[in-house]
Amino acid sequence: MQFSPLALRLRPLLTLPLAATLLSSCGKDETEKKTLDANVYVLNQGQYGTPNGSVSGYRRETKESEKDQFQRANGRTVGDVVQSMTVVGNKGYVVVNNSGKVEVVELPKFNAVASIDGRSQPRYLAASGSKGYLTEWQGAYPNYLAGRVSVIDLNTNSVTSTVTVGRNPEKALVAGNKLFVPNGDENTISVVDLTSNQVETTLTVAAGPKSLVQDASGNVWVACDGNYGARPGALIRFSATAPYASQATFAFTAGGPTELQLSSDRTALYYSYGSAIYRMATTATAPPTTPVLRRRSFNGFGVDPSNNELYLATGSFSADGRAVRYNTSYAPVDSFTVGIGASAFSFR
Amino acid sequence: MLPTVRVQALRPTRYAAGSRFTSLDSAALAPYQGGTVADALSGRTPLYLRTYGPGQLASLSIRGTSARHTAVLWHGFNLNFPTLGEADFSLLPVAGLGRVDVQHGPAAALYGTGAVGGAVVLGSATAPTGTQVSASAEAGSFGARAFSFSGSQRDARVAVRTSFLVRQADNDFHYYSRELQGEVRRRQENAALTQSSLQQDVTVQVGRRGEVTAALWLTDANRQIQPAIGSSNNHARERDQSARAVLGYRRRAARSETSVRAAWFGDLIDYQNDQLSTSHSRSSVRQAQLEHTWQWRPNLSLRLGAEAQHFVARVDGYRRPVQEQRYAGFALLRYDPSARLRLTLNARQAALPGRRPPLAPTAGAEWQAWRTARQQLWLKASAARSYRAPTLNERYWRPGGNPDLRPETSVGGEAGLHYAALPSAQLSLQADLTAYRLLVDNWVQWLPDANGTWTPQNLRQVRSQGLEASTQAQWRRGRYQLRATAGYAFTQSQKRRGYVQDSDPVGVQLAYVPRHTASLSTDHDWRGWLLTTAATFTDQRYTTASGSDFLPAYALLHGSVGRRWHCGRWQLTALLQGHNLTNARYQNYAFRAMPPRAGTLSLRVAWH
Repeated sequence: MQFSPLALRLRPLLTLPLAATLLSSCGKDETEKKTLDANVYVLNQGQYGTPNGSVSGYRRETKESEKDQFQRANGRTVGDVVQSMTVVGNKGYVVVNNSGKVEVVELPKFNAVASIDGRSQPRYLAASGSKGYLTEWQGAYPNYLAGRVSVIDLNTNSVTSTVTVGRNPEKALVAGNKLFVPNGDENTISVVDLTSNQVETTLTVAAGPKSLVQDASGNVWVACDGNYGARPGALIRFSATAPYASQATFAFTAGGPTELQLSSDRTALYYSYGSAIYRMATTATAPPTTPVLRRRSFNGFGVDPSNNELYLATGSFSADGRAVRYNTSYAPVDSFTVGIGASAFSFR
Repeated sequence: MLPTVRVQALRPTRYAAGSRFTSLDSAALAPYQGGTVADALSGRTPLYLRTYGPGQLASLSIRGTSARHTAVLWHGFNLNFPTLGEADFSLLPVAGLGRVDVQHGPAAALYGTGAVGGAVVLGSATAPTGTQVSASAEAGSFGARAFSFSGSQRDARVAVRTSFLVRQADNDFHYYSRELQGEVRRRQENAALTQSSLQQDVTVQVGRRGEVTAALWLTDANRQIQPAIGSSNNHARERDQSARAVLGYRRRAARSETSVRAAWFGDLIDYQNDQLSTSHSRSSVRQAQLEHTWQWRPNLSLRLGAEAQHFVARVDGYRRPVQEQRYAGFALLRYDPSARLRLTLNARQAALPGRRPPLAPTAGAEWQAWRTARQQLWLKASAARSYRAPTLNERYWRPGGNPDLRPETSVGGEAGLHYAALPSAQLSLQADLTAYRLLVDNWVQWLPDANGTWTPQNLRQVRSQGLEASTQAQWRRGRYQLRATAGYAFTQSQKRRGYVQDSDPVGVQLAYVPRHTASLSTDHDWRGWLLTTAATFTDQRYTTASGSDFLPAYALLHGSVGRRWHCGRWQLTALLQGHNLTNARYQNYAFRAMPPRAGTLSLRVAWH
């Protein structure tokens, strides 16, 4: 832009006080506007230390999107480092890591109904019936302490007990009456019996287990990223019932798979590895060598359980990002603006 | 005539014809004796300091650049943290400083690395002849307390000056937070601080022409780190300690002067919170400067100089001790062909490990275009190229540190008017208007590489342009004296070009660069009564690079009223200061609460 006449440049200064008045009076109406009836959610971490995390909504049928559903519905930001969101019935549990809380919202309106506060570096919530299991880190980098799982009564949104697990528990899986907790800073999985809420046994896997899924045959898969690539990782399959015998180990030489997810029929795995997304049938005897999608940089991806479409989160931690939607042939079909630090998805 | 001790009053303007300065002299700094340079600059000038809360990290970016693009100098040496490449103005107490000069625009030829957007020169207070001591104590809202002492002694041969400050604040003010149950009034937690500073200068005349100067500045700050509104209080705290020692020798001849200075600057930063074990950072710089100035004629002088620096750093994030050497040579020429024309031509060439930054030249001119008995108008212009050497963090951080990073460079030009008038014996007026344009290239940005490791890269070009206006008036009538200063800045700063990896959009005003800022301050003095007002306006600021979210504009009003009594050689001053008098609710940095209306009462006793 070239220099325009001085008067034109100074005009914003003159109109500012008026604009400020208008903006502040508009604030109240904001909460009464209807939020988009979304079914794809993008979790935007925001900037660490600053509570500008957000949850963007997208409606897959109409391709409409809304950058910050929580702000729209509640007139405030959701918090500092939005880590994950778990949808249980008509409730969304937004885990806000550096605010140490879980915001409970009603879907699709996204109005906040409760806040589960005082959590220690919370990561992910897994649910079974009316119980929620929230993984939390404890201690300080680089000398983390054993983490814990807080058992939450989803009717009262209160913590009823805690279970001590390994260091840096991540995205846990409920399978039958067991909770499999991957201890990300170790090479172990804590198996918690949900009747007694006690650690029943600890399984040894590869370094850096972060995410788990249960396939159509009932077997459990764990993705170990080699502790953020520092050591060799692996994709490991084991039985969901005691003694949880290991069935297959696919070793990765450098780093390992992360963000393990399932196709809608649970017969295929998706994971991210080295700036690419791979798809692997649960019956395969070796991991695929070519990815289904490669993109120079993305912070996370999601598989839509209703139609197996992929969503990629891109962008920086200084500006709004974009989410890109891919059809089942992995061709981009849409993209939309999301918040700062977009890094994960949740579906309804 | 016997030579006397000539205490260094290094005014930076000599080799900076055509450049714009914003200066705070001792009178402007007086109300901030218990505060920091951050308080003084943000209260009295249209410069925008980004601060994370009262007493928290405060960084200055000039002309729409970043904090790393501001060089801060004391006794001719750069005191930016070599690890971060920037200074925290909350760690620099005003006590002991005599003046603060801010040079706008690229000026590496004069100040070396980092003077890409501008430079701040901290000038030590000079000791007046004789003996002088003063002590002051102040107490204010939110647990603010400060005590300071200064003393000086100067005779024909020796000048000694000591200055000491200790200050404390609880910063447990109220703020409002929007939460599940609506708007909640909360008390700020974890924002207390204790800070101290000691300055000691000695200047000794050696023989007829020589002079030895030793200066020491120790600062210590123990701060809790104020959590953002809505973030959990993770009990973060930071300890910052700096020691700066300078030893200089200057020898004057009839038409020349040689000066050699050696310095040792050491910085310690320890940070910890509930999620992070203490992170240690220790760095030190041993440095030396040699200068020789030829003053062939009163209107022609040339200064040649060289500088060597040796950095040593032990930082947890580097996982090993690192060392680095940097060298630079410079030439500064000042020539005034006539009383109405001043010219300067400067250049500096630095040598960095593995990289040679471009030559950094500056050319400047000031021409008196018009003059009458009581008025004069000067036209000013200057152009410069400047650079910033990569910081130690950018080069050595593991993982991600990029030893191949190129220096950032800036090219800028400015032109303006300077008007001065003396309409009557009682009134003096000054006004300055400057337009500038600045292009910063190879702007460093941390971004994840193909393996997801965050690494700094030379990614973008940023263009900044704007206008700066200021005016000053002094009026005296009988025993009433008024001084008024007004300033305004328009700043447009945008990313113009980037690489594909850099997804931040082009053509959007950079985050935390207000388009408009303004300040207006007045100082009144009548029969020992003192009244000051200081008002500032800060336009809205984007908080993201996409320009989608912003903090609203705000205006602040501060004021003070005081009384000065004289009794023989004693002087007593009582001052009641009010901060944020309109009780504005505002944020300087997103989600960081700022204090509501507050007051401070101070008492100062001086003897001379």
